[in-house]
Amino acid sequence: MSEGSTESRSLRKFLRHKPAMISSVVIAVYLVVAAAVILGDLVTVADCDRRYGPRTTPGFGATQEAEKRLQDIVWYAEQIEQKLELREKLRRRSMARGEVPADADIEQELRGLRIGNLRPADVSADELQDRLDGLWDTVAGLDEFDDLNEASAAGGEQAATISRLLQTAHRQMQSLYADQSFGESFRRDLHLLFGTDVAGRSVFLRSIYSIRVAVLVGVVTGLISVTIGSLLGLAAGYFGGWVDGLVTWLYSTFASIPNIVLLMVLAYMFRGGEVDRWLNDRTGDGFRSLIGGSLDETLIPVFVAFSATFWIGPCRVIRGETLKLREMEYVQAAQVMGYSRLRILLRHVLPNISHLLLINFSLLFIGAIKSEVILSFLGIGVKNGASWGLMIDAARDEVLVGFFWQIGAATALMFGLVLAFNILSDALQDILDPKHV
Amino acid sequence: MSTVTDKSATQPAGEQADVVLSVRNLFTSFRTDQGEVNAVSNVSFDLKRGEFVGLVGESGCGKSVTSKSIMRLLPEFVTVYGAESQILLTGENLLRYSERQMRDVRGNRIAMIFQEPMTALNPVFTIGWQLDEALKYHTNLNRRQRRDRVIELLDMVEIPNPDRRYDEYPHQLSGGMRQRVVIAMALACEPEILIADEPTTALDVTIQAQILKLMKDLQERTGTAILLITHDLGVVAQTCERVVVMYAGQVVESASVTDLFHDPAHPYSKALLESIPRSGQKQKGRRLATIPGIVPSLFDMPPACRFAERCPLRQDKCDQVLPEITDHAGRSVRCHFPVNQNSERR
Amino acid sequence: MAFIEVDNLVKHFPVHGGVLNRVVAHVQAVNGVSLQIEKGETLGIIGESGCGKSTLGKAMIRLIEPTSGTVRYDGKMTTGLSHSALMPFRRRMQFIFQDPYSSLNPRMTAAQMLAEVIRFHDIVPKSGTDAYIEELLDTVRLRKDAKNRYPHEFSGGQRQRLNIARALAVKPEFIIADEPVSALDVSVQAQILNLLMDLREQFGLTIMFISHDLKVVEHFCDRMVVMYLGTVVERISCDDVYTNAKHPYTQALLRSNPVNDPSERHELYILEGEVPSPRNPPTGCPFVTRCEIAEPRCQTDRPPLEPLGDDQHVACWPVTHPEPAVQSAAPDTTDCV
Repeated sequence: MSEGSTESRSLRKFLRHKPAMISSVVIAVYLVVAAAVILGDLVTVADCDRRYGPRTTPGFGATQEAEKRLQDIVWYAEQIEQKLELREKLRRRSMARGEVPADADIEQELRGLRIGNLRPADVSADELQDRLDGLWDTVAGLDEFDDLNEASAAGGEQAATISRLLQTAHRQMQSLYADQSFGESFRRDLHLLFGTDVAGRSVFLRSIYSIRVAVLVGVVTGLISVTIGSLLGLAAGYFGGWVDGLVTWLYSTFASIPNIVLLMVLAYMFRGGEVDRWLNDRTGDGFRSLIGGSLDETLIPVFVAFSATFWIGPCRVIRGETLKLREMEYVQAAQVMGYSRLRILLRHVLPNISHLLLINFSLLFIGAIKSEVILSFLGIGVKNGASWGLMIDAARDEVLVGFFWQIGAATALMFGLVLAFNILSDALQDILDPKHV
Repeated sequence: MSTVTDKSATQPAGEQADVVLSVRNLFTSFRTDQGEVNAVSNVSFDLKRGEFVGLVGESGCGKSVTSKSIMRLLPEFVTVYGAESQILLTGENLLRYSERQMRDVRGNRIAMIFQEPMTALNPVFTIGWQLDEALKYHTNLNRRQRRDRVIELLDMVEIPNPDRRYDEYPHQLSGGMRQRVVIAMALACEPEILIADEPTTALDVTIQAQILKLMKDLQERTGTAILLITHDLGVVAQTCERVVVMYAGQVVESASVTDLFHDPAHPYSKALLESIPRSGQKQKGRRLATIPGIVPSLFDMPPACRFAERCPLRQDKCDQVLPEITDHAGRSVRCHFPVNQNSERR
Repeated sequence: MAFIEVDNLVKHFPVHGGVLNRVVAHVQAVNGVSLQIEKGETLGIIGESGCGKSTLGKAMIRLIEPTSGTVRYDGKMTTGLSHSALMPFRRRMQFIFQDPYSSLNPRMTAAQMLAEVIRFHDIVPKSGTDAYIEELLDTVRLRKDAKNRYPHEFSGGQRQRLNIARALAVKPEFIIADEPVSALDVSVQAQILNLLMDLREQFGLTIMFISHDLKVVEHFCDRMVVMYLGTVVERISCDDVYTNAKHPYTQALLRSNPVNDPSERHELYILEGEVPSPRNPPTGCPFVTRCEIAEPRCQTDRPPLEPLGDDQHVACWPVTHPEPAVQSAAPDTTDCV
């Protein structure tokens, strides 16, 4: 009825499918971020572990109670104070050795202080000490109130005083640090966008790094599982006989092992380092240099564990579909033509299950991400850097004190990706199914 | 007498009394991604008490949509019926019925049997149970009475050993037996109308003969009006009294079976009849008459006569004006230039 | 020697069952069929579903491996040949499938499909492929612009034309057509039958036409073979079938067919009962369970296919060897239920 090939028809259907379009844009954003993290070092493991500010700061610069504001100001001041004390210590040590203290070196040391991209103000150490003392005076003024929160909530003159003093303290605190260009302050705002966790780490950076982990786990295990599953499924379905028997036995066996237990066993197997040692002994440490570290430090245990069980799904589906296609008359027609089995498989069967490969991949992608989160939460998944599972695990204590930024950010980002993929794979089923043309 | 009427035509009251089902100006459309698609357009016909009517046409002509419209079995949220369409069951418009009211009509007053006897029966219940359920739903009989009635029904459709068959499952029966059970189920509540949608297409010719005979016998015995939907003109010639021929969503001709087979008035009916190989006439190797071209797409219906493009008798008028159903020598035809019945006699 | 000779072809499908998936029974789909097809002849194979007619066709072309028996093609045996040894025969015999929807790969355009066949068998020089594809499409009366279209863009009749084009691409001498028109509408069926008749003449094809439709076979074929439960019960010229058919099953088929014309309407002949399961066919004559003229010997001994007059073979004891006591061997032709 209409013109064009199956491919372009599917494409047109896809472009008209609004949810599919929106979800693929969302997925594309995730993929670009993940690629930037993997290839361009957008966020590194170190970034995930560095302090970016005081503990449990809420995101989006949300206003806080007076007490917490004071605490944060004090925290920022203490960072400078510690550095100044360190400088003093070094100076005394040099003088004790009878050396003239090299002030420049010490200033340099002070400048090494970094809270995210915040630097100490570009003034002499003595000037800095003076500003700090001024701040401590203001803080002392605030300390006269027993409870800042209560006092400021009560309103009236007291509240006005507190508010004024806090503003002064904040200004004085800011004077300890160097002014920031627009770019710098934008980056700082981004780092604190979702606030900080209980250790003062940037929730935003950790969530972004987690995208890398999620996408890697999803793509790699998805690809491996679909490849293994479809090869076995195709072979089983098309050749039948003992091949089918073997594959069916294999997947029934794997399917009868509780998924999570197998994953745990495999994860623990690598954790011990036995496998590393065994492989390195035989390859002269070639394995270590190949993957750039021990198995434990990479995502490889997760990939292996997931792929070992995830191939069953696509294998089943594709075996069934191949069994069906084998009886199709166009496959029989190909046999009558005398085509070889490989040719029939590649030219006449495979193209007709390609839509299933895509759909299965997207389903496994979601499955892998969700399993990774669970495993990391249980402490047997990702160890280095951050992942949504680790973040949710870390947020356990925070939730108890009513701080939801970390768990919120992790679940929201995960939800976005999983939902987008679910919608996309649903849409793909509709669009690619040849019966719907 | 006109059996297919224009919407303006009125019928004498005496004739109407005999009519059980009257389809008036049926328009059925579907909402699709490409907009509304009209599958059945201005279809009207009557079914009289105890009459055996064939609804014939090739695939896509709208005959199944018509039957499902009568039963209101089409998915409600995508189906649109014309504002002036009426499906009158003894005077009441089924298109105005609620789903709840329709449930009382289906199975009870109008029953339907389908092409594939396997899918019409639930494989996990026994035949007796399924027949019993139909009775439980539509009658007030108690359990014992129902069992007797089920066995009576199985006996009526000539299933041997109905006592034993009562407890058998559908897969234990052959295709022909299953179709008998389906017919028994359809007749369980003594409906006024039985719609049979290609009931013998999936069956072998010897089994087809059994089922056709059974349907004919039951119709004579119970007085149920049968609307037989089929593409097989042989089946029509064998069983029906009157034929309604559909093409591209419209009725093109409606006539008694002998009139249609001997003097088809519409060029399509004529071409269709000529394109079937005829048995026992030693015409081996003779080229069959064919209809050139293909059925127009639902998405691209010609505004005037829908058959014009393939018609051997096409004239200018056929491309400009949609022919109305008119009476033509004892039958209703939708054609500007009906085949001259005397010169074309075979 | 005939062009195609099938000798005692048998195909039994094992039925697996039980926990250990052992073979518990055999479906005796084709049970010792012998037939000959002369060069240029069109032979119809007729029978009801499950009679083994499709299996016979597929076994003859080695789409299904026959259990036993031989098929000779132009004097050369094709049964038992390896995949590569069979290759020359693949070009000479072809198969047309029933279902116009599942017999074309939905992911290949018409041209891709035909090109694959042509290149695989190297039918024409590479440079001539395009021209040959167009010639083939023209042969089956499809327009040139059909080349780059996918199967779903064709109607049922057009797809069947493509199927025929594919079979013709290797320039075969012999074609097995398995119900090529039964999935089509009446008017399209006529078009395809006409096309097949033209092609038969144009290329001098030998055709084995498998069908359940007596009218079509009668119209299209020279001779017909009637099959019942995996065996041939009668072989007869199509011209004679109405006047001369002897086997009770053939007669039942003839008389249960609906009429052409309502004025010829008569009560259909009702053949009682159902076809027995091919897993467990009767020991004697396969038709014995439904036959009206069955005798005791029909229960125990399977009747052989024996010649009866000119160009007719029947497998029925009462017909070929009437017992002295029985006056009329054939069933009363006026007997209707």
